[in-house]
Amino acid sequence: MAAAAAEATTDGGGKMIILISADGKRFEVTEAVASQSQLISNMIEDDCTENGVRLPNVDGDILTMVVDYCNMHAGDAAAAGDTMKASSTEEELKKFDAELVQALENPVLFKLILAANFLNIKSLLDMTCQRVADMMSGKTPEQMRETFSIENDFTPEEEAAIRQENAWAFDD
Amino acid sequence: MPLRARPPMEDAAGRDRLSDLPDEILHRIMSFLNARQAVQTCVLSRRWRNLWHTVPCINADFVEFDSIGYQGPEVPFKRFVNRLLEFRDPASVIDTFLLKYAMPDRLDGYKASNEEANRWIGYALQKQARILEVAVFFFPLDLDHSVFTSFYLRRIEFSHVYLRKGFFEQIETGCPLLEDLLLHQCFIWDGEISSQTLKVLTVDATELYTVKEMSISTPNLTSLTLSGLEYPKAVLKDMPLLVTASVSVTFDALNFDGYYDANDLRQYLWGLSAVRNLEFHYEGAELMIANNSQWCPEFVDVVNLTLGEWCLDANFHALIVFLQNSPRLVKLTLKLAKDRWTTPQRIIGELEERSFTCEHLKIVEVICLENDPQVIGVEDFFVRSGMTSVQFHIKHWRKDEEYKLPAFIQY
Repeated sequence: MAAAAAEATTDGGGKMIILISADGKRFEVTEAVASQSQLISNMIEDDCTENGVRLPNVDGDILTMVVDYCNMHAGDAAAAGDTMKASSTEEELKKFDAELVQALENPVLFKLILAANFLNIKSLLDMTCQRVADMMSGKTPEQMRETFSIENDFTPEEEAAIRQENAWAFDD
Repeated sequence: MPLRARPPMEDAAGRDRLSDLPDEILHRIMSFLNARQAVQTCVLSRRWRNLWHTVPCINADFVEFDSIGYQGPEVPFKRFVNRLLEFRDPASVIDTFLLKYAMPDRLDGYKASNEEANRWIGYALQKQARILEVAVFFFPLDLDHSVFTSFYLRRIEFSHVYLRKGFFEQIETGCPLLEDLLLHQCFIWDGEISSQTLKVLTVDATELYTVKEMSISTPNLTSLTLSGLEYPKAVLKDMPLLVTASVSVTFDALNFDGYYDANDLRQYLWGLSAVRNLEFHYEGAELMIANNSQWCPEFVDVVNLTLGEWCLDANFHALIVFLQNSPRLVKLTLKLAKDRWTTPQRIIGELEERSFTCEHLKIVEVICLENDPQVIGVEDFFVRSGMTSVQFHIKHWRKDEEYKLPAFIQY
């Protein structure tokens, strides 16, 4: 296990691993931070993170956000039993999450969703999908098309037929 | 932590990146929509035409059809749910079924609506639902528990539902994976809540119709919340794995002749003696406490303890007894009155042995109204008891904290 022993450790003793984005940016994070990604957690278990984890689907700027998110949430599990910190941390986290999703423009939001999906970080995926749903919620189909630039590729007759077929969902 | 600079947009706005997402992600997004909107996405474009057929979460809420008051939506809502279940892909599983339904108050309509709601629930269980949440308004739903046979169901949340005799037996034998049960404003026609599988149990503002005491026998429970039970006595059987418990007991003077004494608390407290996090409230009629603390077990593992205002009554009587019995206590939280009107004495009794040692106690948090005069008394109490190194945190009640509904019935 010489290789493992040679790996860097933080002050807390957690092992560090390197994440490498599609455009070659490198991020050094603790195993605890990275394990929030189920994908990486599995790789850690299989002992194949020694030379860094290449993430060819994730750009550096998106990975920056993912790493920020994971750093912020890494305390979750540890703090759960520690009520001294839990309440303030919980509020901070909520604020951090709200600011993170509110600040995102559409194209970045969708890239973040894809990254969360690929890395399999359930809480981040749920949060970003919820954000999209919130943008759809309360809108008519026409307003949804406008918000997301969805091209209506039905003919007017086709659309009328679909509305007719599903009148039970459209009519009051 | 500050947000880093936003990545530059590399393509012009105007490209439909939403529709480019894979089906599974679009399904996840649609799962956060109410069912009506999820279906309505079918007209967006060809990409969206059939996506709703296989959405794994159905969130059917009568309010979506509530355009002309509460009696209005019944017919279109029923038609909507029936068509939705009829036209969705029958091969596709339902992970989560959320139903918010207003039962009509006309007698002739009630029976049919009740049957329909039970049929929808049965359908969701057939489609392998893991999570079932049913909130009913106006008249309660009379649940047909015979359909509760599922190897998938993990969580049930019910609000305003009648549970007939046999419900708990049915979920015990029929739902071997069920871990989490929340009952809010329900009506239980059974003498025993019994389950080997439950890990989290919440029973709130629920009426128990049983002649004898209600026994709660859930040996694998790790978290228990009991509050607002409208019947005085429940008996907690052995729960060796319980970590967190929040119990609020009300003895109503009208339901019982004579007076209550602290031994009536005993049956609750002794069942909770192994917990790590304990919240315990007593409300209701005056309680006689004899000059011994036999009613209170030793909470050998309690680290976090939360008590209500009642523990300050009769010169901190109950507070002292809990502190004497909590050798590992680190944090004490005292929740004082949320309004000015609830300050009768609930405890009668005198305590001779008033000393305690809580050598691990570090934090005392008091949650109260602004200018609550009792706060000074509490601080003074700890100083006089020699606990000078304890940190005091004073928090004030927020308006929205007065009564919290379970999340699944909040709007």
